[in-house]
Amino acid sequence: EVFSPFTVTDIRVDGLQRIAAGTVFTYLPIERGDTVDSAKVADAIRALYKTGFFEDVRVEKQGDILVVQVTERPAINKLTISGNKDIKTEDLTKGLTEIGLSEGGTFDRLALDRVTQELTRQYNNRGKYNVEITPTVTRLDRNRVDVAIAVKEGAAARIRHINLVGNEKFPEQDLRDSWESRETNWKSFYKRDDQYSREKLSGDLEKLNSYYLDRGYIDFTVDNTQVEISPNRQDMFITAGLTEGEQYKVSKVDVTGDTILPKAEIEKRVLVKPGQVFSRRLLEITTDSISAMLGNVGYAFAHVNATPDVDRENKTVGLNLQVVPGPRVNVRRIIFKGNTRTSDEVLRREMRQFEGSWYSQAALDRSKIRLQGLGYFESVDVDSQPVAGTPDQVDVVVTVKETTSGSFVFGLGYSQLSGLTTQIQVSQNNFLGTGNRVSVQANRNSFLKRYDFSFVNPYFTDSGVSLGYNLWWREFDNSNYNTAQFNSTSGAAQMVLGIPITETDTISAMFGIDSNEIFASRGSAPDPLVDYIDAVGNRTFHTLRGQVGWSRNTLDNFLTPNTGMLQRFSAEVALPGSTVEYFKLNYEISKFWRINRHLVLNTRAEIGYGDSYGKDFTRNVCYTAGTFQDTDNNPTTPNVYVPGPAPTEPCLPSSPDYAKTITATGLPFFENFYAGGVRSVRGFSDNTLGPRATATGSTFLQPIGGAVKTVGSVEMFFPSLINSPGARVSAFLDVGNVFASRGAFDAGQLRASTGVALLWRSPMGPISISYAFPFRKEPTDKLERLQFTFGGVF
Amino acid sequence: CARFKNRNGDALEGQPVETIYQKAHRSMLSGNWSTAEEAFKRLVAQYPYGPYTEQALIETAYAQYKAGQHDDAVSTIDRFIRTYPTHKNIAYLYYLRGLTNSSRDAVFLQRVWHLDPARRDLATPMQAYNDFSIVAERYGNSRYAADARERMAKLRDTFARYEMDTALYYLRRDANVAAIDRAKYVLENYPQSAYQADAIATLASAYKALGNTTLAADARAELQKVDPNHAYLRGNWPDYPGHLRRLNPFGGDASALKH
Amino acid sequence: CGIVYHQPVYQGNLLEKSAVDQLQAGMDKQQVILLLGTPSVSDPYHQERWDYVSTQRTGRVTGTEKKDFVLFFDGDKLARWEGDYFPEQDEQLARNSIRQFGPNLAKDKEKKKRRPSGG
Repeated sequence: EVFSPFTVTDIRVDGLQRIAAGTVFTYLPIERGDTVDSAKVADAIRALYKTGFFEDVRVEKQGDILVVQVTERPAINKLTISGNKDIKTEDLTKGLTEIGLSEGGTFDRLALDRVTQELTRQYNNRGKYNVEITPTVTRLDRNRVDVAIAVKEGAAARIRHINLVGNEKFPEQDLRDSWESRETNWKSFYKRDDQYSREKLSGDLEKLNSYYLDRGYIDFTVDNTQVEISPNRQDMFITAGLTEGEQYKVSKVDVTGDTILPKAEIEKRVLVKPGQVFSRRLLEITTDSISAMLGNVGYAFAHVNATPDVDRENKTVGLNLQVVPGPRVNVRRIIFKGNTRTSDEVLRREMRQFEGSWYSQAALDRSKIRLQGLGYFESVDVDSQPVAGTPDQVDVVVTVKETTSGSFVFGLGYSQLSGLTTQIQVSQNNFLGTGNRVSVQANRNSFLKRYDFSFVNPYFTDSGVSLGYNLWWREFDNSNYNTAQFNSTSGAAQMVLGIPITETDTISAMFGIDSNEIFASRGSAPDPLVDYIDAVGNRTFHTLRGQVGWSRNTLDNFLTPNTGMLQRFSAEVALPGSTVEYFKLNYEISKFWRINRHLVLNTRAEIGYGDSYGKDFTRNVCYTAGTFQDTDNNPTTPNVYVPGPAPTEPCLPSSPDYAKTITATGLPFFENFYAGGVRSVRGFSDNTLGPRATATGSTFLQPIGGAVKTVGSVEMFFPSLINSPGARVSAFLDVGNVFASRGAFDAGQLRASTGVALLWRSPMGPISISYAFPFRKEPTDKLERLQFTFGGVF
Repeated sequence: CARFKNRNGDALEGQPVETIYQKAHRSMLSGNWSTAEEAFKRLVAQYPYGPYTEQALIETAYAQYKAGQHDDAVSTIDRFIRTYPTHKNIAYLYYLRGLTNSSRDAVFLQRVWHLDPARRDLATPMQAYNDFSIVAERYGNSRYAADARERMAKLRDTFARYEMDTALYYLRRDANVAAIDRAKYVLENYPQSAYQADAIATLASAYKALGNTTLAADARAELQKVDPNHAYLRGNWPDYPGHLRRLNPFGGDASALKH
Repeated sequence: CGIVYHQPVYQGNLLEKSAVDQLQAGMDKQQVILLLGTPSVSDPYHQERWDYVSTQRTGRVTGTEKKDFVLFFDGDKLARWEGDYFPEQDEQLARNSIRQFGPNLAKDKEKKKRRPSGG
């Protein structure tokens, strides 16, 4: 109705149940004493509808009182969704709450229609074109309703046929090689690549566009795409019509604009050369690398405008690369987000970019690599945002997503074999978010006692000198590591020091004392081991241990590297005064080459060599075997073993009962290198490669490791095969073995295997699974085709 | 256990609103937050309006807060504020949201390991500060205003402490411009914080390190006025914690700031 | 000791001689900012003075080289300026940053669209 303007003396609201009058007055744009006309009334009605509480709003005038008549929307008592398989119920309920439909909330028919459309769209996106969504609303008393949404998903439409029309220069098979939408094939049952989705198709058409533009066809266009669905809505047919146009070559390239750095430096980065076939990808790499170069010296907003000037007759295009540096920018503040557990300084000390300094893209890139290298985060994202009100300042925002960078294992068990077993193992690379590496391990059972404690503070000094200490006491049965049968009881105390000498190189030193008591009994441990102990004449080895090391890490990513190299060299010495004086050298190198977007090659090698440098131990052994005699000359009782006479002292080669001379030389067996298993030559069970020996009276060959280790591997990674950042598939060739000594090295004895492996960064830590075929092996080798490791960084 | 759950649900079906409320409230008093929350949810679904419903929604939010379900508590509070913007104790809802946000990301057993919350992401404490400022400004004379103002002051000190720790981080590394900017940020944004004097002392040491004698002298004079017995004036400031402390795994977060 | 690596620490503004030569008394603060950029140090207790500080510590044992180019204002108008600043060294900085921090990371595709487009 039309209102002649009047001043409101009072306002009355009728029809309220759940909503309080006060609430209506907050949203109502009219107050007592206002003069009101029909326009004002219309605004009021619109305002009240916007609150979403009311199904109907009417305004009347009684004398000077404004009467607002409302009918409230019903409240939702129960909201149930049934029949949904592809989309989980929690995601649906979350989506519904965002649209405004939730238990206890107000029921709005408009919102319900929006929900039905949204669900249909989501299912269409998953290729389910004949989905039926039927919402039913049942009224209850006290203005309440129950809402039930029934979903009948129906079968997904399959892409039966994709057809490109108009491609003469390139076969359709190459064009569609990298597409995600595929015709139904045997892999579709698990890859689901024959399920149609609009996003997937538009992504594929974009790839088609790049394919042509990267090969000089600058006029390429996709004219039309038809997507037809069969009447039974089961099969889809996709046709795309395209005009290729002509191939263009580059006629000239010149760099203009304010290049800041000398033009020659900039021109060195230009990959697009006259005479080449034009390629958009090369152009993009060129413009990116020029703007990055300027970004390294403060020009955060630098960019390059590439304006082509096309010459239609002789099919060439001239390129004018106009460099726009923008202002030189300073970084005002560096803000960290997402570090609810990790302390700010642990992140800030990895930053190579300083606040109050000019912006450096190189420093920010290096900071990202270093932050990833900590291993505390699933993802690290570095972004710069201009500061409002100043033309030349940015804030750098680093957003991290923390992961569990450690493990906590607590075990309590009982078994006949090992009695009561208790095991507590806490290892945290980021202990309490302070960046310190702490590992405490205590496990006990009847044949194993182990107490380890290690602590390293990677930033004992502000510039990154790391200091730490290890303490352990272990009573070990080595046979559970597939190696020879001997037990050892060892205790150690060590100090560890690390000094960064350049951005990528670190030198390290360790000094410690340890004692190692070996129990190797004749008949169970292999003879060379027992001879060694006898020759040394002492079962307990006290060692004054020193180690120096050097490492260089230029990898571009901590867990899934694409380029760069990791090298480590260490020399460990049992210093003079130790029971046995020896040294151990170890060198590792691992290099990554990025072949292209889909292939990353990795070559690895590890060489270990150890030897003694002190005096050798020689001992002559005199021995006469005992015999079985009938000591109580009673034939019925069994004979008794009577040991032979005591060996002559001192035992000389000339003594009558001289048996042999044994010498202990070279690297002590308990310090030997081992090979085989996931970290060296896959396909062979852990630590079983290399020399073997038998114990007296047994023919069972026990691996005893060796003083020389040579292991190598060539592995090809396929980062794009699985599109989750945390998983990488690879094919590999592993070669390697350990040898008793330098002389014993024989390339013919090198074992080799080839196979496939999966590296997956799971929430519980990195897991690697590999399946290998050893093809250079000996019959006595212990094979293990399927192997996996869990946790630990490799 | 599912059988047990809906038996409890059926027991509440069709009961008068007072009985459901009494039952839920009893679980609240005995600290049994999840059963209380469940009972209140059934109450609100069956009786979508009326004073009991509003009270039930408020106690649901409190139960969720006490049970540590911070995200649920905040969404319950937001829904209440949208539906009952002029409720008589709406101030309590903003206050409760402030409480929830200030303990939302606290590291477990934070005090036991004496970890410093100022060192971690301050996003949720900042939200808590906004909630408390709503209580203090819009509901200044409510029961909660005084405590809200006190908590705001404490939060301001935490934010200022974060800025100061970062300023000292840069001062130690001879990045004096960065230290000056962080100190100025404290002076401009947290004027009455407990670190006023420390900020001025940072300016003075940074200027001294830069060899800018005039600015250093003036900053020192300013410090003299603000806190005559500040350690800087006696020459041993900042007094960084010893290095040996860094070898103690349970050393927690040490800082040169004394408050 | 000399063997421990210290990352390079740069602070403050890099001024260009061509810009500094265009300074004229009487310029207002906005014009100065357009010419030299935002000053790195503007002391809260000295509104009348802007310090274009710049410091560098790059060597292993060398200390921090400090320079300060000071502008004095009379109200809002530039009165006089004094002090020195590091000479132009962009080319050397560009070379150092690659040698020091290695090649730049490739920009990931979707982030490229959201690049800051100021300036």
